[in-house]
Amino acid sequence: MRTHRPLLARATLAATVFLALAGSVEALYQTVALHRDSRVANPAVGVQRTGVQDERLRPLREHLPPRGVVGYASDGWSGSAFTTVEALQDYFLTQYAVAPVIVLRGAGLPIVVGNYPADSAAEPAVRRTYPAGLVLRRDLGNGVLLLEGGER
Amino acid sequence: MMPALALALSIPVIGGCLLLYTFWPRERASRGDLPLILALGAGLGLGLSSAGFFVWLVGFGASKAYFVVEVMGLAALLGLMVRRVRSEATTDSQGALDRPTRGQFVSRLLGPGFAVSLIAALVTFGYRSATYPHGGWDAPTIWNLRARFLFRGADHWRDAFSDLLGTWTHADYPLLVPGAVARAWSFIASEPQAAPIMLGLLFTLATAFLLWGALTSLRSRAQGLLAGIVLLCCNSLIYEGANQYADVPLAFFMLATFVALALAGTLEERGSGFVALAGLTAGLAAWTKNEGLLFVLALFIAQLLVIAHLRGWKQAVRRQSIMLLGLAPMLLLIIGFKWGVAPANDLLASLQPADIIDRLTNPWRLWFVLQSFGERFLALSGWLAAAPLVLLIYLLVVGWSEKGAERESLGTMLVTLGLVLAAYLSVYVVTPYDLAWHVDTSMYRLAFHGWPSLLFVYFLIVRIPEAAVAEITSAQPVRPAAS
Repeated sequence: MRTHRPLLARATLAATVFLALAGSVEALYQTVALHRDSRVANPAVGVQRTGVQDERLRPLREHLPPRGVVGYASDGWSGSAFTTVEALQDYFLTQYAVAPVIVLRGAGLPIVVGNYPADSAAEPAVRRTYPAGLVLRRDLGNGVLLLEGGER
Repeated sequence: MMPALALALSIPVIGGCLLLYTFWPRERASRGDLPLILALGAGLGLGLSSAGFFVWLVGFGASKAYFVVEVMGLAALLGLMVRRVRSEATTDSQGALDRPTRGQFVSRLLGPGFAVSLIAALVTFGYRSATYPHGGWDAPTIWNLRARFLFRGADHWRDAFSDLLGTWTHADYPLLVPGAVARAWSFIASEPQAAPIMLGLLFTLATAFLLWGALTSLRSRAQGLLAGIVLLCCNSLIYEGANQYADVPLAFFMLATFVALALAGTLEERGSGFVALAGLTAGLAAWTKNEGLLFVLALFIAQLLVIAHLRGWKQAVRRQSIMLLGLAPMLLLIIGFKWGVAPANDLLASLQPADIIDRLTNPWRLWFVLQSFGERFLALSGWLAAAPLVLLIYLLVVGWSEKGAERESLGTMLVTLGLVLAAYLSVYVVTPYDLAWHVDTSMYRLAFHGWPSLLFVYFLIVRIPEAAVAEITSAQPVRPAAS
């Protein structure tokens, strides 16, 4: 049996390869543009914050026990829920930064991590009002605090 | 630090390649299968070393002694390989399998095309990783978080599965990726972010090279190159690989299972080793993601049905037993993990029978899931035109392969993919979460899982480019490939 339409087959093969490569080059162009934009902008939301937050929260590890459970306080925690997507992400990234220490939402533990990103540029930690019963133990800078809580 | 990390990752990659090379059937002429062995061996080695690391952690705690065992294993495999090479040198080695010669047009188009797609993929991966060094959102909240618990927690690794951690950490997810990252960090006693990035790159390349190598071995050089181009130009492969998720490793092990089944088909009765290998790689898929468990179940059902239909129940049961033998080590590990370590799956735990029936009988949900999947499936390659439609047109123009000796493996693969797809869609239909949110946050990744495997099946079926463009006749003898 002879194969049929060899010229059409060549054209289709070439078109398939072209479409694939063109898509790949377009994706490359978009990725390079995204990278360039990420270097000039400082994203408030999204996965690009992970590295920045991880670096900011890194000093906590030296002041926490090697394992155990700590509480979590922030402006974005209402006591029952996070008020913004950024606040929820900050909580996740705090857990990521201090693992294997487990971070529980709320202030009802002897050691509480305070995550107040806005403090890095505005209000000093000592003048801030914290959830009831919490006392500032150490200001680690950039809005990262170690607080002392009362076990409830 | 980078040389130490490279060494940490090289040991399992080389070990996996040596393991495959040593036990590769002589009938398949090892030299012709070398790219396939390297790609398959790399993923196999990374998967097995991850599993070994976790077993050691459970049995003996965090200790460097594990790496001594690994290196001893590597030395033993090296010895076995040298012995095999010597024995082959003294006997008549079979040449590479007969393959059609390369057409001028085809080789001029596909060789450079493959090189361009590989370079574009590598540069895109590099830029994505530079933009998101900690990967996509699930990397710090699931995969790399777990790796940090395993590495930093050391002897207290069980804290990674504490009930105190929120369901958002998905502590029941299997550990192939976190285990591999934690293993690399433990080897170098440090935790550079380069480890999960390199692991993502290795699995991304291994997936593309496995498809290329397998089709080169089973069909022709041009078919392998074309399939490699199509997969390397799939944006989802590069993005998900750079995201440091477990989706690309899962897709790799699904593809590896299908490749092993296809290789078994080339050896008929002597292909038992490849059937056992298919069981092992399917087990590694289940050790990668919970979806891998669905894949294992679908694979066993599909194989039983297809072989029973073609060769009778006795042969089907025999074949299942061989595959089960390969699956057994990983199956035991997964049962142990799910039984003794992992908490309950949040999705299953929150499902009530009445809710399931209610959702299954809601046609709007099914329509929404089907439509969403269709959209994501057509868009997953990110080409200028939908890749599945382009490939459909290509098939219609070029035609089908005249090889019909792989009915069993092709049937098993197609039924498996169909069952996996049905299971995925069913999970979305009955999901207790907000359906639109669940679809938006995960379906594009699930649509990718089967894509490399589907491409493998497709390029087994479609006529090879050399034959399609050169107007050769089937009666014409095919000359062996130039060495």
